Amino acid sequence: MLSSTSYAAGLTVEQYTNDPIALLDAEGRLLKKIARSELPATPLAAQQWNDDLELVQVEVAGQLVWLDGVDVRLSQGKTVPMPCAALPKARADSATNLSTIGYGAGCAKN
Amino acid sequence: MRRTDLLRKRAAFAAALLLTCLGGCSTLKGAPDALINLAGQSTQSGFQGKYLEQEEVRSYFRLDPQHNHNLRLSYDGRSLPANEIRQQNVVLIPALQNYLQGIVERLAKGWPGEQPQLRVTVTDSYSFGPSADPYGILYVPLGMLESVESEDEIAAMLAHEMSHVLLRHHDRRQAFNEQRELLTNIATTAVIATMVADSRLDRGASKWKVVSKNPQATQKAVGETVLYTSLANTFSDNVWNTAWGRAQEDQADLLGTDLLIKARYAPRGASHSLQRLSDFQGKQAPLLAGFIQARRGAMQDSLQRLDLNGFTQEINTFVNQGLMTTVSAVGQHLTRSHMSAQRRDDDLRQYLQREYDAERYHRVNKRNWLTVRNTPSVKASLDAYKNAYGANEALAQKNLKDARTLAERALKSPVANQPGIRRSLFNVHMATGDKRRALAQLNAIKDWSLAGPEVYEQLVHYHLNNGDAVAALATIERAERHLGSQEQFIVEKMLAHKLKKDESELRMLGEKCKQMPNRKDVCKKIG
Repeated sequence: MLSSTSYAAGLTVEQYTNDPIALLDAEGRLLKKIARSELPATPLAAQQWNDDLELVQVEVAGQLVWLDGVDVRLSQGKTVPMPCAALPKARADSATNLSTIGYGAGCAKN
Repeated sequence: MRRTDLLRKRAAFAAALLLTCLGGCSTLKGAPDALINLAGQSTQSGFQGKYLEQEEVRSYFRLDPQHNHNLRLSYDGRSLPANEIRQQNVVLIPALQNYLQGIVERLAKGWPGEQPQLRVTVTDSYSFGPSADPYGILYVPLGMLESVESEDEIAAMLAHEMSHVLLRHHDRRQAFNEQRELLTNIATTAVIATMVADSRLDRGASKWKVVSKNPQATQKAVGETVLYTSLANTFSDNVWNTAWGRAQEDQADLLGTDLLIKARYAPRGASHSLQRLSDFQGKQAPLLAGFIQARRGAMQDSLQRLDLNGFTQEINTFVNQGLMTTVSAVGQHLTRSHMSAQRRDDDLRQYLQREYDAERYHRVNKRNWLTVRNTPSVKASLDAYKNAYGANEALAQKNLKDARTLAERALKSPVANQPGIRRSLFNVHMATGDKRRALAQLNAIKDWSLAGPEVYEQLVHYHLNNGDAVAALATIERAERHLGSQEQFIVEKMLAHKLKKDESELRMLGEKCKQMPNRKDVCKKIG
């Protein structure tokens, strides 16, 4: 599991979407549930991100714990790899959003 | 033809086009309001327990035979309005099709009521959201399959679309249809305008002949229009779909979640898909602005070629105002929709915590989908479509070398003779001016029942521009049979009969066309 855990530079917890919220260990096992009102204010900086388990590590009351993605909204959610079929006028505006994965040589040359 | 006759004919076409635009665009004024989802209390907070057990859902457990009867196509099988026919090419990848159909069947087992027919169809589109029609066909765009990471996520999106069918939301789809017409009308009008403006009808010694005044420009404009029409349809199937209304989307989310969990899928897949929808819609905004600008340019070009000073100013004003209203309406809608996907996700999370607190922590299974996607026949086919798509994109950027490379690469696949693949090669050869080889590409399409209206349109216009009325009519006949609509190509059909000097057929078509609000004004002038 550790292989899918990475440091989460810039990632933040934007919102607690449920109440109460489950505090978990690194394997996703429940430690305890805690009322939303007892959690730090958002946005809350994430320490690590486990992509396989969808767990985000944050600091709560001086302790590092893991939260499940189903209980929080993160600053970076799931995305769509947009093909480079953008019209020329749109490309400049959205260039940073456009993925070039898997869409062929035409895309790579953008 | 005398000059005065020619001018009169041009004036008639211009008037017809203007009327068509005004008729088709009359909904523009009300568009912003109609497009925006209404805010209000969430659906899930209005009841206790699981949605599947609510009385309003139980009322749909029995199929309504009358409902099915009402949906049946007319006896001639060709009377679907042009705006209701499938807009994309169908993609045939048997292993993928079976896999997706298997997911639907697994989900359907959770529905306690009588089951309507539900069938998955993969479409040649790089949009994200699937859609469903009232006949129980669930359209899955290639773009969705490129984006998702797990079978749970696919199941969540299919369960949502199935729920629209099970809850018979299509019975209330009038508003959806009206909004869809907003863009398709504009695109269609520009295609017709381009063709008519660039052609004139000359009476030769024995027959009428369509003479293209500027064939290269016509082909370019039509080609571009097809690209943009394709884009418009992306919005039709996704953005407009979300404008169905908050309650309907909520209901489909709730029932979809119940079905998802009964089939033992991880419900977090639904949250993943809503996050992606939100991302997709956010990325569409600049794309849409580009589309509208390009569409305005193409439409103005088409109309200006009519060379009618008296009308030009009025037309320009209309085009500017009409399309800018559309930009505004769509812009507002996208903003609301962008928020709406997140709001739906929030509501769903609360419903899951209330009703499925244990299940909501289940993990998604990424392996199954990865295995299917990497099956050699599936991978080769999906790669081929990506290459064909890349070829069209390279063409739009006038990068012919890459376009050819990509289009030819797409041929080395199990889907080589499907419409989307051959169309990209057709476009490449047309761009080089090699019409003979271009035509050979469309003729290589093995199964025309897979083709969407755009491919038929390219072939019909190819034949009309070459003065080959017989071939154009044969293509139109095939399109009517497979698409189930006579309205789609009735203007082109009349032009072909005009070419053949078949006055009785022309009159008969003219009478039929009077019943088709979006075509009748143009038909009247041709007749």
